[in-house]
Amino acid sequence: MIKDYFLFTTTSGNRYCFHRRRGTVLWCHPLLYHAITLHRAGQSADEWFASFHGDFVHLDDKLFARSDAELAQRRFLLLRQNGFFSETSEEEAVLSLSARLSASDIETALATTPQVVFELTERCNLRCDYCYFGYHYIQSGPRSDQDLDFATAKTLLDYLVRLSPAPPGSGPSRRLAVAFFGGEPLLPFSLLQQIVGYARSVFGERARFQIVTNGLLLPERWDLLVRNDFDLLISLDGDETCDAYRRFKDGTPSYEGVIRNVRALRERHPSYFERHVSFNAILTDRGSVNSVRNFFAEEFGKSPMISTLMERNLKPGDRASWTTMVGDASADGARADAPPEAARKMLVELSMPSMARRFLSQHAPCRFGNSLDALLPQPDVRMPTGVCRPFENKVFLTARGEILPCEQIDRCHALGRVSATAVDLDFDSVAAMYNRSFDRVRATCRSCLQAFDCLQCIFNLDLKQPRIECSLAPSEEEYSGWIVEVIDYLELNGSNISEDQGI
Amino acid sequence: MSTLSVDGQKRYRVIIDSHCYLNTRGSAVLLYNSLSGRTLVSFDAPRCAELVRPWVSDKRAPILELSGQELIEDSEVRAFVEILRDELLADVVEAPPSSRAPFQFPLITGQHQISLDEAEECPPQDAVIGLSIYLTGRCGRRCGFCTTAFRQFPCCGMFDAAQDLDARHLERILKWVGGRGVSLAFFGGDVFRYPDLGVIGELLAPWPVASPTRFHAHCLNVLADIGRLEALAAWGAELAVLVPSDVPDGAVVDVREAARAARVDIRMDFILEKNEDYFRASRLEERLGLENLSFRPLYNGRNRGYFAENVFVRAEEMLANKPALRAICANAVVNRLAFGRLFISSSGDFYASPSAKPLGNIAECSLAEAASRELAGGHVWTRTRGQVEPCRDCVFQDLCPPLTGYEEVLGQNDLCHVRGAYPGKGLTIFGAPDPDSRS
Repeated sequence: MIKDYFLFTTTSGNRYCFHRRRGTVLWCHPLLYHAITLHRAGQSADEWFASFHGDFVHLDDKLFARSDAELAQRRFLLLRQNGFFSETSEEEAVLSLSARLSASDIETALATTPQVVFELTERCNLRCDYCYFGYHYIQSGPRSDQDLDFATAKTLLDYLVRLSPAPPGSGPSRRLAVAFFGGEPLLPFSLLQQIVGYARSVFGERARFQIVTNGLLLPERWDLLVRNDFDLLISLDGDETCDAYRRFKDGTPSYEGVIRNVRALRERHPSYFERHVSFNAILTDRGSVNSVRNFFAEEFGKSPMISTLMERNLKPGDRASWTTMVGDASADGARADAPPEAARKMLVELSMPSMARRFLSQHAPCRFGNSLDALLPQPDVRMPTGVCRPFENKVFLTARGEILPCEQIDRCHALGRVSATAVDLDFDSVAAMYNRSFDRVRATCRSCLQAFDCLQCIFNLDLKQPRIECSLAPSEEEYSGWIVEVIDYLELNGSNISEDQGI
Repeated sequence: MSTLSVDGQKRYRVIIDSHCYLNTRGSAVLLYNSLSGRTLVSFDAPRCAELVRPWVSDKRAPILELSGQELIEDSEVRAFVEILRDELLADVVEAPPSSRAPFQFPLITGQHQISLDEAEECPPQDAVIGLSIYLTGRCGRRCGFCTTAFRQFPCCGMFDAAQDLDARHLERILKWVGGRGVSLAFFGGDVFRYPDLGVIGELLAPWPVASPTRFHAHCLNVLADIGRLEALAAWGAELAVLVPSDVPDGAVVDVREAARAARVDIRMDFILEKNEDYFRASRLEERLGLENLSFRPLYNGRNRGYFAENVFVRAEEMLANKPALRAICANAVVNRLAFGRLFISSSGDFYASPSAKPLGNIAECSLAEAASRELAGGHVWTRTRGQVEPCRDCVFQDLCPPLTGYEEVLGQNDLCHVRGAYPGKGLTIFGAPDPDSRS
């Protein structure tokens, strides 16, 4: 049995009880906290309450009025009557994680997918040291200089239109974000032009465009981007020092060329730059969170997205050089395969605002009603892991015509293929593949504390192993520690984040 | 009530419980604890309204910082805080000068504006959770309440006279919802006179996720076609049997026995127009040991008094059910009785309610499109108490059950007993005391 409620104290000394299945964060009076602590340890809180005599109660060198103790007792009983101190058996967890996908679910999700992402090319004009498609990582499929074929992209767009549930004769009524990815997607420019033109002809103003680029080819290409209001995400790691791992094939740094182009874009199209341009920076040993943030704030008045180096699929022999790039090779006593402590802290610092936002959006009582899900009766069961329903967020088409639910999933997990003339995607097979994976992973998830709040994508797990290991499954100490970190952060920043979230 | 010990030299924090809901309307403030159902309403108490205002207008964390002096000198504030504490709506602790306030989520409030934009972005068919399919207008009976009852609660009735739903349309509809767990309700007329009734089981069979399926029929129509029950049992469908007051007890007994023999699940829906109807239904419930029955109050144009006395809700009854925060929040934006439910007439027209305008016909409009049209421009799914008089100005509006079909037929909803319970001034507690939670 796993206890569903956790007690913790933040660095400020505030005490809380968190219920992992209800998502409730309950601030506790010290007397209530002590009663719940006893209860959780299998001791009798009732006996403790019954032991009070006189007008005052001593606890932790503090004196409380008897009336405070009586209120704490009533509150404890109320929580107990309402099932707050629940436990979940592994059998119950399996039942709660027993949702399955049907072919109809897959078809519906694809018919209404909000985004299609095209990998326009595998080619790139850079050879960045840390590239996920570079030499430090095990590749899950062939990768060379393949470009996407226009007919293939058109076939997928036509297919999405046919699936769309618009009434006959009225044309597609859906909105669709069309995103471009690479390699460097500005290299095959005529292909980009063709796809943009076709998507515009089919979806009209309901098509929105997005692109991720290293910025080296911007001056020759930006007219198309500006004319179509592209959301432009430029990969740049900060100033010249921070950006040192982003290099041409001959080892020359790319910084000078990129920064010149970005400045020119801002000068030429200031309004577009303000509204549509953002940056993604990879944090390495060459910079710090603050130095990267300061650079973008001073140079462009913008706040970048900051990511860390990918650890998945790292070649075992390349860990030392990867660790150097991450920033700290001196993790004394750490497991050989664990990220160094400095990297872990950096990750926490970086991810805390988004983790806190996520925590708020998942657990704030007023999240109800912010989405359709909240208005509908809640299903009793959910899918294991944090995997998305395929295509509910996007569909990704590789340059080789493979269909994937997301660009972050390895190519070996392709769900179907698109050719110049047809889409080969069998909804029954996709549903069956997911359901088989769910059946395999449930045994791991059933004993996980984070089973109902999972961040793990099922495609990141090695499902071929007899016993599936999940690197994100926390121990009780880690889980409580994570909650403490989030609530600590929210005690200081909660009201600002709530406003950002519209909560 | 326990007295709050206060030191005039210290500062205090009043921390509202995470399970609370807050609403303000005019000078009235309501705080409700969803665990206990206990509810504090302050009416015409300006200091209380002033204290809670930032929790609503600025979505501030529901924590009050008060000086001991304030608590001693301001009797209104002190009374407010003592009731909050005593009713487990809040806790009070000392707040040393350097201490950090705890983190508290903003409360759900009656002013929480929920956007349905995201719902419109979702696959619209995901919004459909129930589908009522009117198979045929054929019926040998001529019940006086037929049309009006159908507008008030789910039962057989007159919706689309004498026309049968095209079997191809039925097939199309069931393919749309197949495997999605959408609950299905089949109506007539007399559903047993639908010529393609046998097709339904075949169409439902292939789907991996069984749709909860129910057929609605008049008790005497069931009795006249009792051989159909075995088919319903084979499909795993439930039968809702409409029992008006003129149906003899013997017919109810016979249907019950036949259903038991055929192993079909039944629910007896007793129509109540007066107190005697309720007494009779209760007698039958006891005599037959009915496990599944429901009472359907019917407004017949002459029984307004019966409704006022027996049907409209009282604050204590409502709070005894301890409405959940999720339901309260949903009540603010949608009608939970209607949301996600579509009707299809036998001529193939989609409706969000039998009283509303059609959303389109199945010949030119998909289920998703019908749902999308209701989400975008319809008024049935989103008809809330916040839109109608006199609920609009009532602090209980999101706690009350959603607007019902009989209120619409009655043409008024001011028969309620909740607003009548308001005090003219001061602080009042609603909700039954929870005996086990008091030592």
